Amino acid sequence: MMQFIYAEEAILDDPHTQTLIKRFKKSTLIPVKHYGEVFNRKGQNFRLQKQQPALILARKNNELVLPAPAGYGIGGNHNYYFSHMLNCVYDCRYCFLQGMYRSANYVIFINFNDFKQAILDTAANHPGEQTWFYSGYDCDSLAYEPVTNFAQTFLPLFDGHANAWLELRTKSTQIRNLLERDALDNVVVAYSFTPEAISQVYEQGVPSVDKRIEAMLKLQNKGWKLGLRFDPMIYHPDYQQQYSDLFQKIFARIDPAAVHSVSLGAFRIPKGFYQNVALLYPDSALFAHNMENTAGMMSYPIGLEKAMLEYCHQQLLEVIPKSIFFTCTPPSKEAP
Amino acid sequence: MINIVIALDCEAKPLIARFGLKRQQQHTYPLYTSEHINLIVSGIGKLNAATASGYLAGLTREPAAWLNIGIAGHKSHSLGTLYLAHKITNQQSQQNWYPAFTFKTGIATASLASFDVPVTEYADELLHDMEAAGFYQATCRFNSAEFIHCLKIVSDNAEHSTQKINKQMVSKLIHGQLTPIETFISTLNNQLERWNDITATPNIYNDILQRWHFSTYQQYHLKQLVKRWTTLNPQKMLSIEELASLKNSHRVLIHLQDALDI
Repeated sequence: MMQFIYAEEAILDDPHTQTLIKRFKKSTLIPVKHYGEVFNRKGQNFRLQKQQPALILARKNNELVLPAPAGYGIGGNHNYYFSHMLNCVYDCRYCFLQGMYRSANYVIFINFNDFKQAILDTAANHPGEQTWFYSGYDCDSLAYEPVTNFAQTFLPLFDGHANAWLELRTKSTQIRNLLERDALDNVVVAYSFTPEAISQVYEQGVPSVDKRIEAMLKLQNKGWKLGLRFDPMIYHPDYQQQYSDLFQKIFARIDPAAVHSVSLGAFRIPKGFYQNVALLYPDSALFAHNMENTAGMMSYPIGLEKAMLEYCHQQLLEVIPKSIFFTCTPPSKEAP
Repeated sequence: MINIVIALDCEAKPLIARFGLKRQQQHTYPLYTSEHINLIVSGIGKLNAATASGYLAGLTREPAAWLNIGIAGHKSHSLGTLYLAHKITNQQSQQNWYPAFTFKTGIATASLASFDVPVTEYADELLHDMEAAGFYQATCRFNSAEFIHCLKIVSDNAEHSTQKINKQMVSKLIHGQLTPIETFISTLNNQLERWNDITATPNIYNDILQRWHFSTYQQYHLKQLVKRWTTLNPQKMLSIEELASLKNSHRVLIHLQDALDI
Protein backbone atom coordinates (compact mmCIF):
# COMPACT_ATOMS: atom_id res chain seq x y z
CA MET A 1 0.00 0.00 0.00
CA MET A 2 1.34 3.37 -1.02
CA GLN A 3 -0.08 6.09 1.23
CA PHE A 4 0.89 9.01 -1.00
CA ILE A 5 1.50 9.47 -4.71
CA TYR A 6 3.04 12.70 -5.90
CA ALA A 7 2.55 13.32 -9.61
CA GLU A 8 3.75 16.14 -11.82
CA GLU A 9 0.80 18.26 -12.93
CA ALA A 10 1.90 18.09 -16.57
CA ILE A 11 1.63 14.30 -16.70
CA LEU A 12 -1.56 13.79 -14.72
CA ASP A 13 -3.54 12.94 -17.86
CA ASP A 14 -0.88 10.67 -19.34
CA PRO A 15 -2.25 7.12 -19.76
CA HIS A 16 0.79 5.62 -18.02
CA THR A 17 0.31 7.99 -15.07
CA GLN A 18 -3.38 7.14 -14.93
CA THR A 19 -2.62 3.40 -14.95
CA LEU A 20 -0.28 3.79 -12.00
CA ILE A 21 -2.69 6.03 -10.09
CA LYS A 22 -5.51 3.56 -10.62
CA ARG A 23 -3.31 0.76 -9.32
CA PHE A 24 -3.09 2.54 -5.97
CA LYS A 25 -6.73 3.58 -5.63
CA LYS A 26 -6.55 4.16 -1.90
CA SER A 27 -3.49 6.40 -2.10
CA THR A 28 -3.72 10.14 -1.70
CA LEU A 29 -2.71 11.91 -4.92
CA ILE A 30 -0.72 15.11 -4.48
CA PRO A 31 -0.04 17.13 -7.65
CA VAL A 32 3.38 18.82 -7.84
CA LYS A 33 4.93 21.14 -10.42
CA HIS A 34 8.21 19.20 -10.68
CA TYR A 35 9.21 16.00 -8.95
CA GLY A 36 12.33 17.69 -7.59
CA GLU A 37 10.11 19.78 -5.28
CA VAL A 38 9.58 16.61 -3.25
CA PHE A 39 12.54 14.45 -4.14
CA ASN A 40 15.48 16.84 -4.20
CA ARG A 41 14.73 19.38 -1.51
CA LYS A 42 17.02 19.70 1.49
CA GLY A 43 16.05 18.66 5.00
CA GLN A 44 14.86 15.11 4.39
CA ASN A 45 15.84 11.96 6.19
CA PHE A 46 16.37 9.03 3.81
CA ARG A 47 16.44 6.47 6.60
CA LEU A 48 13.16 7.56 8.15
CA GLN A 49 11.44 7.83 4.77
CA LYS A 50 12.49 4.27 3.99
CA GLN A 51 9.95 3.20 6.65
CA GLN A 52 7.09 4.35 4.44
CA PRO A 53 8.20 5.53 0.99
CA ALA A 54 5.83 7.41 -1.26
CA LEU A 55 5.60 7.11 -5.04
CA ILE A 56 6.56 10.02 -7.26
CA LEU A 57 5.47 10.04 -10.91
CA ALA A 58 7.42 12.29 -13.20
CA ARG A 59 8.69 12.86 -16.71
CA LYS A 60 12.42 12.80 -17.43
CA ASN A 61 13.10 15.40 -20.08
CA ASN A 62 16.80 15.12 -20.76
CA GLU A 63 19.87 12.95 -20.18
CA LEU A 64 17.71 9.87 -20.57
CA VAL A 65 20.71 7.74 -21.52
CA LEU A 66 24.07 8.48 -19.92
CA PRO A 67 27.58 7.05 -20.29
CA ALA A 68 28.23 4.39 -17.63
CA PRO A 69 30.84 5.30 -15.01
CA ALA A 70 34.41 4.33 -15.85
CA GLY A 71 35.19 0.75 -14.81
CA TYR A 72 31.55 -0.29 -15.24
CA GLY A 73 31.36 -2.81 -18.06
CA ILE A 74 31.26 -6.42 -19.14
CA GLY A 75 33.29 -6.38 -22.29
CA GLY A 76 31.17 -4.31 -24.65
CA ASN A 77 32.49 -1.57 -26.91
CA HIS A 78 30.27 1.10 -25.38
CA ASN A 79 28.53 1.30 -22.04
CA TYR A 80 25.52 3.41 -21.09
CA TYR A 81 22.94 3.41 -18.35
CA PHE A 82 19.40 4.65 -18.07
CA SER A 83 17.04 4.93 -15.12
CA HIS A 84 13.30 4.58 -15.53
CA MET A 85 13.16 4.63 -11.74
CA LEU A 86 15.12 6.25 -8.91
CA ASN A 87 15.50 4.33 -5.66
CA CYS A 88 14.90 0.73 -4.81
CA VAL A 89 12.27 -1.24 -2.96
CA TYR A 90 15.06 -3.05 -1.13
CA ASP A 91 17.10 -1.58 1.69
CA CYS A 92 20.74 -2.58 1.26
CA ARG A 93 22.96 -0.86 3.73
CA TYR A 94 25.94 -0.66 1.35
CA CYS A 95 23.94 0.96 -1.46
CA PHE A 96 25.25 4.32 -2.68
CA LEU A 97 21.72 5.53 -3.49
CA GLN A 98 21.03 6.22 0.19
CA GLY A 99 23.93 8.68 0.18
CA MET A 100 23.19 10.11 -3.26
CA TYR A 101 19.51 10.91 -2.85
CA ARG A 102 17.92 13.02 -0.14
CA SER A 103 14.63 11.17 -0.36
CA ALA A 104 13.81 7.46 -0.15
CA ASN A 105 10.61 7.91 -2.15
CA TYR A 106 10.41 5.93 -5.39
CA VAL A 107 10.46 8.04 -8.56
CA ILE A 108 9.04 6.43 -11.69
CA PHE A 109 9.63 8.27 -14.96
CA ILE A 110 6.54 7.49 -16.98
CA ASN A 111 7.81 8.53 -20.43
CA PHE A 112 9.08 5.08 -21.38
CA ASN A 113 8.78 5.89 -25.10
CA ASP A 114 11.28 8.73 -24.75
CA PHE A 115 13.72 6.35 -23.05
CA LYS A 116 13.23 3.83 -25.84
CA GLN A 117 13.92 6.44 -28.50
CA ALA A 118 17.04 7.61 -26.65
CA ILE A 119 18.30 4.02 -26.50
CA LEU A 120 17.71 3.52 -30.22
CA ASP A 121 19.41 6.83 -31.04
CA THR A 122 22.40 5.95 -28.88
CA ALA A 123 22.72 2.46 -30.36
CA ALA A 124 22.48 3.97 -33.84
CA ASN A 125 25.58 6.04 -33.06
CA HIS A 126 27.58 2.79 -32.78
CA PRO A 127 26.49 0.67 -35.77
CA GLY A 128 27.81 -2.88 -35.63
CA GLU A 129 29.39 -2.35 -32.20
CA GLN A 130 28.20 -4.01 -29.05
CA THR A 131 26.57 -1.23 -27.05
CA TRP A 132 25.41 -1.98 -23.55
CA PHE A 133 22.53 -0.36 -21.73
CA TYR A 134 22.45 -0.94 -17.98
CA SER A 135 19.04 -0.52 -16.39
CA GLY A 136 19.85 -1.34 -12.77
CA TYR A 137 22.06 1.55 -11.79
CA ASP A 138 19.61 3.79 -9.89
CA CYS A 139 17.14 1.04 -9.01
CA ASP A 140 16.70 -2.72 -9.11
CA SER A 141 15.67 -3.56 -12.68
CA LEU A 142 12.93 -6.04 -11.79
CA ALA A 143 11.91 -5.59 -8.15
CA TYR A 144 9.08 -3.19 -8.98
CA GLU A 145 8.07 -4.96 -12.21
CA PRO A 146 4.48 -5.68 -11.11
CA VAL A 147 3.98 -1.92 -10.82
CA THR A 148 6.18 -0.53 -13.61
CA ASN A 149 6.05 -3.29 -16.25
CA PHE A 150 9.48 -2.01 -17.17
CA ALA A 151 10.93 -5.26 -18.53
CA GLN A 152 7.75 -6.16 -20.35
CA THR A 153 7.77 -2.77 -22.05
CA PHE A 154 11.46 -2.53 -22.89
CA LEU A 155 12.32 -6.09 -23.94
CA PRO A 156 10.58 -5.86 -27.33
CA LEU A 157 12.79 -2.87 -28.12
CA PHE A 158 15.92 -5.02 -27.92
CA ASP A 159 14.38 -7.75 -30.06
CA GLY A 160 15.62 -6.80 -33.50
CA HIS A 161 18.38 -4.38 -32.48
CA ALA A 162 21.28 -6.77 -32.27
CA ASN A 163 23.99 -4.26 -31.37
CA ALA A 164 21.98 -2.92 -28.41
CA TRP A 165 22.47 -5.09 -25.32
CA LEU A 166 20.45 -4.77 -22.16
CA GLU A 167 21.52 -5.73 -18.67
CA LEU A 168 18.70 -6.22 -16.18
CA ARG A 169 20.46 -6.11 -12.82
CA THR A 170 18.43 -7.41 -9.93
CA LYS A 171 18.04 -9.26 -6.67
CA SER A 172 14.40 -9.88 -7.42
CA THR A 173 12.31 -12.95 -8.09
CA GLN A 174 9.75 -10.89 -10.08
CA ILE A 175 10.51 -12.71 -13.33
CA ARG A 176 7.06 -13.65 -14.59
CA ASN A 177 7.23 -11.21 -17.51
CA LEU A 178 10.52 -12.79 -18.60
CA LEU A 179 9.31 -16.37 -18.27
CA GLU A 180 6.22 -15.61 -20.31
CA ARG A 181 8.19 -14.66 -23.41
CA ASP A 182 11.09 -16.02 -25.45
CA ALA A 183 14.59 -15.23 -24.26
CA LEU A 184 16.54 -12.61 -26.17
CA ASP A 185 20.15 -13.11 -27.23
CA ASN A 186 21.12 -9.54 -26.40
CA VAL A 187 19.63 -9.37 -22.90
CA VAL A 188 21.39 -10.51 -19.75
CA VAL A 189 19.58 -10.98 -16.45
CA ALA A 190 22.28 -10.30 -13.89
CA TYR A 191 21.78 -11.33 -10.28
CA SER A 192 23.59 -9.59 -7.44
CA PHE A 193 24.72 -11.58 -4.43
CA THR A 194 26.50 -11.27 -1.16
CA PRO A 195 26.91 -14.35 1.07
CA GLU A 196 23.83 -15.26 3.10
CA ALA A 197 25.38 -14.19 6.43
CA ILE A 198 26.12 -10.75 4.99
CA SER A 199 22.81 -10.52 3.16
CA GLN A 200 20.87 -11.16 6.35
CA VAL A 201 22.57 -8.23 8.06
CA TYR A 202 22.86 -5.71 5.27
CA GLU A 203 20.14 -6.52 2.71
CA GLN A 204 16.71 -5.80 4.19
CA GLY A 205 13.70 -7.01 2.23
CA VAL A 206 15.81 -8.85 -0.34
CA PRO A 207 14.90 -12.42 -1.42
CA SER A 208 17.18 -15.02 0.15
CA VAL A 209 20.18 -16.35 -1.75
CA ASP A 210 18.28 -19.61 -2.33
CA LYS A 211 15.27 -17.84 -3.78
CA ARG A 212 17.47 -15.82 -6.11
CA ILE A 213 19.21 -18.98 -7.30
CA GLU A 214 15.80 -20.55 -7.83
CA ALA A 215 14.76 -17.60 -10.00
CA MET A 216 18.02 -17.84 -11.96
CA LEU A 217 17.38 -21.52 -12.55
CA LYS A 218 13.95 -20.81 -14.03
CA LEU A 219 15.46 -18.17 -16.30
CA GLN A 220 18.28 -20.51 -17.30
CA ASN A 221 15.77 -23.22 -18.21
CA LYS A 222 13.90 -20.69 -20.32
CA GLY A 223 17.12 -19.84 -22.19
CA TRP A 224 17.87 -16.40 -20.76
CA LYS A 225 21.52 -15.38 -20.54
CA LEU A 226 22.51 -14.97 -16.90
CA GLY A 227 24.94 -12.68 -15.18
CA LEU A 228 26.44 -12.93 -11.72
CA ARG A 229 27.41 -9.77 -9.90
CA PHE A 230 29.41 -9.91 -6.70
CA ASP A 231 29.54 -6.17 -6.48
CA PRO A 232 30.01 -4.78 -3.95
CA MET A 233 31.94 -7.41 -2.05
CA ILE A 234 31.33 -6.90 1.65
CA TYR A 235 33.89 -7.79 4.27
CA HIS A 236 33.16 -10.53 6.80
CA PRO A 237 35.76 -11.86 9.27
CA ASP A 238 35.27 -15.23 7.59
CA TYR A 239 34.91 -13.81 4.10
CA GLN A 240 36.89 -16.56 2.35
CA GLN A 241 34.60 -19.31 3.60
CA GLN A 242 31.52 -17.15 3.14
CA TYR A 243 32.25 -16.32 -0.49
CA SER A 244 33.47 -19.87 -1.27
CA ASP A 245 30.24 -21.28 0.08
CA LEU A 246 28.24 -18.77 -1.94
CA PHE A 247 30.03 -19.65 -5.20
CA GLN A 248 29.59 -23.37 -4.53
CA LYS A 249 25.92 -22.93 -3.77
CA ILE A 250 25.31 -20.99 -6.97
CA PHE A 251 27.27 -23.26 -9.30
CA ALA A 252 25.78 -26.39 -7.74
CA ARG A 253 22.56 -25.38 -9.49
CA ILE A 254 23.47 -22.89 -12.21
CA ASP A 255 25.25 -24.22 -15.27
CA PRO A 256 28.39 -22.12 -15.83
CA ALA A 257 27.80 -22.52 -19.57
CA ALA A 258 24.56 -20.54 -19.20
CA VAL A 259 26.40 -17.69 -17.52
CA HIS A 260 27.16 -14.78 -19.81
CA SER A 261 29.37 -12.82 -17.42
CA VAL A 262 30.59 -12.72 -13.86
CA SER A 263 31.79 -9.53 -12.24
CA LEU A 264 33.47 -8.67 -8.98
CA GLY A 265 33.61 -5.25 -7.44
CA ALA A 266 35.04 -3.96 -4.20
CA PHE A 267 32.86 -2.01 -1.80
CA ARG A 268 33.29 1.60 -2.82
CA ILE A 269 31.27 4.75 -2.42
CA PRO A 270 32.07 8.39 -3.28
CA LYS A 271 33.24 10.30 -0.22
CA GLY A 272 30.31 12.74 -0.18
CA PHE A 273 27.77 9.92 -0.36
CA TYR A 274 29.70 7.97 2.28
CA GLN A 275 29.54 10.91 4.68
CA ASN A 276 25.78 11.21 4.15
CA VAL A 277 25.18 7.50 4.76
CA ALA A 278 27.44 7.39 7.80
CA LEU A 279 25.35 10.18 9.36
CA LEU A 280 22.13 8.29 8.60
CA TYR A 281 23.39 4.96 9.93
CA PRO A 282 25.82 5.67 12.78
CA ASP A 283 24.69 2.35 14.28
CA SER A 284 25.82 0.28 11.28
CA ALA A 285 29.15 -1.51 11.57
CA LEU A 286 29.60 -1.13 7.82
CA PHE A 287 30.40 2.56 8.28
CA ALA A 288 32.10 2.32 11.67
CA HIS A 289 35.30 0.60 10.53
CA ASN A 290 38.12 2.62 9.06
CA MET A 291 37.88 3.14 5.31
CA GLU A 292 40.45 4.52 2.91
CA ASN A 293 39.90 7.48 0.65
CA THR A 294 41.39 6.91 -2.79
CA ALA A 295 40.79 9.75 -5.22
CA GLY A 296 37.51 10.64 -3.52
CA MET A 297 36.26 7.07 -3.32
CA MET A 298 35.87 5.45 0.10
CA SER A 299 36.66 1.74 0.26
CA TYR A 300 38.25 -0.91 2.44
CA PRO A 301 42.00 -0.60 3.15
CA ILE A 302 43.79 -1.43 -0.06
CA GLY A 303 45.47 -4.58 1.28
CA LEU A 304 42.18 -6.07 2.40
CA GLU A 305 40.37 -5.06 -0.76
CA LYS A 306 43.09 -6.64 -2.88
CA ALA A 307 43.07 -9.84 -0.83
CA MET A 308 39.28 -10.16 -1.09
CA LEU A 309 39.27 -9.53 -4.84
CA GLU A 310 42.14 -11.92 -5.51
CA TYR A 311 40.69 -14.68 -3.40
CA CYS A 312 37.27 -14.49 -5.04
CA HIS A 313 38.84 -14.10 -8.47
CA GLN A 314 40.77 -17.35 -7.98
CA GLN A 315 37.74 -19.17 -6.66
CA LEU A 316 35.58 -18.10 -9.56
CA LEU A 317 38.18 -19.02 -12.21
CA GLU A 318 38.03 -22.60 -10.97
CA VAL A 319 34.47 -22.71 -12.29
CA ILE A 320 34.17 -20.15 -15.08
CA PRO A 321 36.41 -19.26 -18.04
CA LYS A 322 38.50 -16.11 -17.76
CA SER A 323 36.75 -14.70 -20.84
CA ILE A 324 33.51 -14.06 -18.95
CA PHE A 325 35.13 -12.62 -15.83
CA PHE A 326 35.15 -8.86 -15.27
CA THR A 327 36.19 -6.60 -12.45
CA CYS A 328 34.31 -3.38 -11.73
CA THR A 329 37.07 -1.14 -10.49
CA PRO A 330 37.32 2.63 -10.39
CA PRO A 331 40.05 3.95 -12.73
CA SER A 332 42.24 4.81 -9.72
CA LYS A 333 42.59 1.15 -8.77
CA GLU A 334 44.20 -1.82 -10.40
CA ALA A 335 42.06 -4.83 -11.25
CA PRO A 336 43.30 -8.30 -10.19
CA MET B 1 10.67 17.33 22.66
CA ILE B 2 7.62 18.53 20.72
CA ASN B 3 7.48 22.25 19.90
CA ILE B 4 3.97 23.49 19.17
CA VAL B 5 3.40 26.83 17.46
CA ILE B 6 -0.16 28.10 17.72
CA ALA B 7 -1.63 31.43 16.66
CA LEU B 8 -4.28 32.19 19.25
CA ASP B 9 -4.76 31.86 23.00
CA CYS B 10 -8.17 30.29 22.42
CA GLU B 11 -6.57 27.61 20.19
CA ALA B 12 -3.88 26.96 22.79
CA LYS B 13 -6.14 26.75 25.82
CA PRO B 14 -7.47 23.18 25.33
CA LEU B 15 -3.94 21.88 24.60
CA ILE B 16 -2.46 23.64 27.63
CA ALA B 17 -5.10 22.00 29.83
CA ARG B 18 -4.81 18.55 28.23
CA PHE B 19 -1.01 18.38 28.47
CA GLY B 20 -0.75 20.18 31.82
CA LEU B 21 1.54 22.87 30.41
CA LYS B 22 2.86 25.60 32.73
CA ARG B 23 3.23 29.25 31.74
CA GLN B 24 6.83 30.43 31.67
CA GLN B 25 7.30 34.07 32.60
CA GLN B 26 9.55 36.71 31.06
CA HIS B 27 9.35 35.60 27.46
CA THR B 28 8.59 37.69 24.41
CA TYR B 29 5.74 35.34 23.49
CA PRO B 30 3.32 33.46 25.77
CA LEU B 31 5.18 30.21 26.37
CA TYR B 32 3.87 27.07 28.08
CA THR B 33 5.98 24.01 28.81
CA SER B 34 6.11 20.51 30.25
CA GLU B 35 8.88 17.91 30.25
CA HIS B 36 8.21 16.92 26.62
CA ILE B 37 6.21 19.79 25.13
CA ASN B 38 6.81 23.48 24.49
CA LEU B 39 3.88 25.54 23.25
CA ILE B 40 4.31 29.09 22.00
CA VAL B 41 1.46 31.45 21.08
CA SER B 42 2.66 33.30 18.02
CA GLY B 43 -0.17 35.62 17.06
CA ILE B 44 -1.91 35.64 13.68
CA GLY B 45 -0.05 35.49 10.36
CA LYS B 46 2.90 33.89 8.61
CA LEU B 47 5.47 36.35 9.89
CA ASN B 48 4.36 35.93 13.48
CA ALA B 49 4.42 32.15 13.11
CA ALA B 50 7.93 32.28 11.64
CA THR B 51 9.38 34.63 14.26
CA ALA B 52 7.80 32.72 17.15
CA SER B 53 9.19 29.46 15.72
CA GLY B 54 12.65 31.01 15.55
CA TYR B 55 12.29 32.27 19.12
CA LEU B 56 11.28 28.82 20.34
CA ALA B 57 14.10 27.16 18.40
CA GLY B 58 16.53 29.42 20.22
CA LEU B 59 15.22 28.16 23.55
CA THR B 60 15.25 24.46 22.62
CA ARG B 61 18.37 22.60 23.66
CA GLU B 62 17.65 19.27 21.95
CA PRO B 63 16.42 18.23 18.47
CA ALA B 64 12.66 18.75 18.47
CA ALA B 65 9.67 17.86 16.34
CA TRP B 66 7.54 20.79 15.30
CA LEU B 67 3.78 21.14 15.06
CA ASN B 68 1.59 24.00 13.93
CA ILE B 69 -1.91 23.43 15.27
CA GLY B 70 -4.86 25.67 14.58
CA ILE B 71 -8.04 26.38 12.73
CA ALA B 72 -8.52 26.61 8.96
CA GLY B 73 -11.25 27.21 6.44
CA HIS B 74 -12.43 24.92 3.68
CA LYS B 75 -15.13 25.26 1.06
CA SER B 76 -17.02 22.11 1.91
CA HIS B 77 -15.47 20.16 4.78
CA SER B 78 -17.50 19.93 7.97
CA LEU B 79 -16.68 22.13 10.92
CA GLY B 80 -14.52 20.40 13.50
CA THR B 81 -12.85 17.97 11.07
CA LEU B 82 -9.15 17.42 11.69
CA TYR B 83 -6.63 17.39 8.82
CA LEU B 84 -2.92 16.89 8.53
CA ALA B 85 -1.33 18.98 5.78
CA HIS B 86 0.38 17.02 2.98
CA LYS B 87 1.22 20.13 1.00
CA ILE B 88 1.68 23.66 2.30
CA THR B 89 1.63 26.62 -0.07
CA ASN B 90 2.51 30.22 0.59
CA GLN B 91 -0.32 31.70 -1.45
CA GLN B 92 1.56 34.95 -2.00
CA SER B 93 4.89 33.51 -3.20
CA GLN B 94 3.46 30.21 -4.48
CA GLN B 95 6.27 28.40 -2.68
CA ASN B 96 5.38 24.83 -1.65
CA TRP B 97 6.51 22.46 1.10
CA TYR B 98 5.72 18.77 1.45
CA PRO B 99 5.83 17.27 4.96
CA ALA B 100 7.11 13.68 4.91
CA PHE B 101 5.08 10.93 6.57
CA THR B 102 6.97 8.02 8.05
CA PHE B 103 4.11 6.38 9.91
CA LYS B 104 0.39 5.82 9.47
CA THR B 105 -1.49 8.55 11.30
CA GLY B 106 -5.15 7.68 10.83
CA ILE B 107 -5.76 11.39 10.21
CA ALA B 108 -7.06 12.55 6.82
CA THR B 109 -4.64 14.75 4.88
CA ALA B 110 -5.22 17.79 2.68
CA SER B 111 -3.43 20.59 0.85
CA LEU B 112 -3.16 23.76 2.88
CA ALA B 113 -2.60 27.30 1.60
CA SER B 114 -1.56 30.19 3.82
CA PHE B 115 -3.02 33.60 3.01
CA ASP B 116 -2.14 37.09 4.22
CA VAL B 117 -5.73 38.01 5.13
CA PRO B 118 -8.78 36.00 6.17
CA VAL B 119 -10.41 34.36 3.16
CA THR B 120 -14.10 34.17 2.45
CA GLU B 121 -13.88 32.91 -1.15
CA TYR B 122 -12.61 29.34 -0.76
CA ALA B 123 -10.58 27.66 -3.47
CA ASP B 124 -11.59 24.07 -4.22
CA GLU B 125 -9.96 21.29 -2.23
CA LEU B 126 -7.73 23.60 -0.18
CA LEU B 127 -7.56 24.28 3.48
CA HIS B 128 -7.04 28.01 4.10
CA ASP B 129 -5.08 29.40 7.02
CA MET B 130 -2.72 32.29 7.80
CA GLU B 131 0.29 30.68 9.54
CA ALA B 132 1.40 27.29 8.21
CA ALA B 133 3.65 28.56 5.39
CA GLY B 134 5.53 30.90 7.73
CA PHE B 135 5.82 28.20 10.35
CA TYR B 136 7.08 25.62 7.84
CA GLN B 137 9.56 27.90 6.11
CA ALA B 138 11.11 28.75 9.48
CA THR B 139 11.10 25.32 11.11
CA CYS B 140 12.47 23.37 8.13
CA ARG B 141 15.81 24.91 9.15
CA PHE B 142 15.64 23.19 12.52
CA ASN B 143 14.74 19.60 11.64
CA SER B 144 13.92 17.39 8.68
CA ALA B 145 10.55 17.19 6.93
CA GLU B 146 9.60 14.02 8.79
CA PHE B 147 9.44 15.97 12.04
CA ILE B 148 7.50 19.06 10.95
CA HIS B 149 3.74 18.90 10.55
CA CYS B 150 0.62 21.05 10.50
CA LEU B 151 -2.66 19.92 12.05
CA LYS B 152 -5.70 21.96 11.13
CA ILE B 153 -9.28 21.83 12.33
CA VAL B 154 -11.98 23.21 10.05
CA SER B 155 -13.54 26.32 11.61
CA ASP B 156 -15.31 27.87 8.63
CA ASN B 157 -16.70 26.88 5.26
CA ALA B 158 -19.05 28.15 2.57
CA GLU B 159 -21.98 27.64 4.91
CA HIS B 160 -20.35 29.01 8.04
CA SER B 161 -18.21 32.10 7.36
CA THR B 162 -15.20 33.36 9.32
CA GLN B 163 -17.41 36.13 10.77
CA LYS B 164 -19.24 33.52 12.83
CA ILE B 165 -16.06 32.34 14.53
CA ASN B 166 -15.58 33.29 18.19
CA LYS B 167 -13.11 32.30 20.92
CA GLN B 168 -15.40 29.83 22.64
CA MET B 169 -16.17 28.08 19.38
CA VAL B 170 -12.45 27.80 18.48
CA SER B 171 -11.59 26.30 21.87
CA LYS B 172 -14.47 23.85 21.50
CA LEU B 173 -13.34 22.79 18.01
CA ILE B 174 -9.78 22.15 19.20
CA HIS B 175 -11.05 20.38 22.31
CA GLY B 176 -13.08 18.04 20.11
CA GLN B 177 -9.95 16.74 18.38
CA LEU B 178 -7.62 16.45 21.38
CA THR B 179 -7.55 12.65 21.33
CA PRO B 180 -6.25 12.21 17.75
CA ILE B 181 -3.91 15.17 18.27
CA GLU B 182 -2.51 13.55 21.41
CA THR B 183 -2.07 10.20 19.61
CA PHE B 184 -0.27 11.92 16.75
CA ILE B 185 2.01 13.80 19.14
CA SER B 186 2.80 10.61 21.01
CA THR B 187 3.72 8.67 17.84
CA LEU B 188 5.76 11.56 16.47
CA ASN B 189 7.59 11.87 19.78
CA ASN B 190 8.38 8.13 19.76
CA GLN B 191 9.86 8.47 16.27
CA LEU B 192 11.88 11.48 17.35
CA GLU B 193 13.22 9.76 20.46
CA ARG B 194 14.25 6.70 18.45
CA TRP B 195 16.08 8.91 15.99
CA ASN B 196 17.70 10.94 18.76
CA ASP B 197 18.86 7.69 20.41
CA ILE B 198 20.40 6.50 17.15
CA THR B 199 22.32 9.74 16.68
CA ALA B 200 23.14 10.40 20.33
CA THR B 201 26.71 10.92 21.41
CA PRO B 202 27.82 8.40 24.07
CA ASN B 203 28.36 9.88 27.55
CA ILE B 204 32.02 8.89 27.52
CA TYR B 205 32.60 11.70 25.00
CA ASN B 206 32.08 14.36 27.67
CA ASP B 207 34.19 12.40 30.16
CA ILE B 208 37.07 12.37 27.68
CA LEU B 209 36.71 16.12 27.06
CA GLN B 210 37.03 16.72 30.80
CA ARG B 211 40.24 14.75 30.99
CA TRP B 212 42.19 16.08 27.98
CA HIS B 213 42.13 19.33 26.01
CA PHE B 214 40.77 18.96 22.46
CA SER B 215 40.68 21.68 19.81
CA THR B 216 37.34 22.32 18.09
CA TYR B 217 38.36 20.19 15.12
CA GLN B 218 39.62 17.45 17.43
CA GLN B 219 36.31 17.50 19.31
CA TYR B 220 34.43 16.82 16.10
CA HIS B 221 36.85 14.02 15.24
CA LEU B 222 36.60 12.56 18.76
CA LYS B 223 32.80 12.55 18.64
CA GLN B 224 32.82 10.54 15.41
CA LEU B 225 35.41 8.09 16.72
CA VAL B 226 33.57 7.51 20.00
CA LYS B 227 30.30 6.86 18.14
CA ARG B 228 31.96 4.44 15.74
CA TRP B 229 33.80 2.68 18.56
CA THR B 230 30.49 2.24 20.40
CA THR B 231 28.81 0.84 17.28
CA LEU B 232 31.54 -1.75 16.84
CA ASN B 233 31.62 -2.68 20.53
CA PRO B 234 27.98 -2.70 21.63
CA GLN B 235 28.66 -5.04 24.54
CA LYS B 236 31.64 -3.15 25.89
CA MET B 237 31.62 0.40 27.23
CA LEU B 238 34.57 2.58 26.37
CA SER B 239 36.09 3.69 29.67
CA ILE B 240 38.37 6.47 30.83
CA GLU B 241 40.51 3.80 32.55
CA GLU B 242 41.27 2.25 29.17
CA LEU B 243 42.57 5.59 27.92
CA ALA B 244 44.17 6.78 31.18
CA SER B 245 47.75 6.09 30.16
CA LEU B 246 47.52 8.24 27.05
CA LYS B 247 49.43 11.50 27.37
CA ASN B 248 47.32 13.91 25.34
CA SER B 249 44.32 14.38 23.06
CA HIS B 250 46.36 13.49 19.98
CA ARG B 251 47.22 10.10 21.48
CA VAL B 252 43.60 9.49 22.45
CA LEU B 253 42.50 10.12 18.88
CA ILE B 254 45.18 7.80 17.48
CA HIS B 255 44.28 5.10 19.97
CA LEU B 256 40.60 5.22 19.03
CA GLN B 257 41.32 5.48 15.31
CA ASP B 258 43.54 2.39 15.44
CA ALA B 259 40.85 0.45 17.28
CA LEU B 260 38.53 0.93 14.30
CA ASP B 261 40.74 -0.91 11.81
CA ILE B 262 39.24 -4.00 10.25
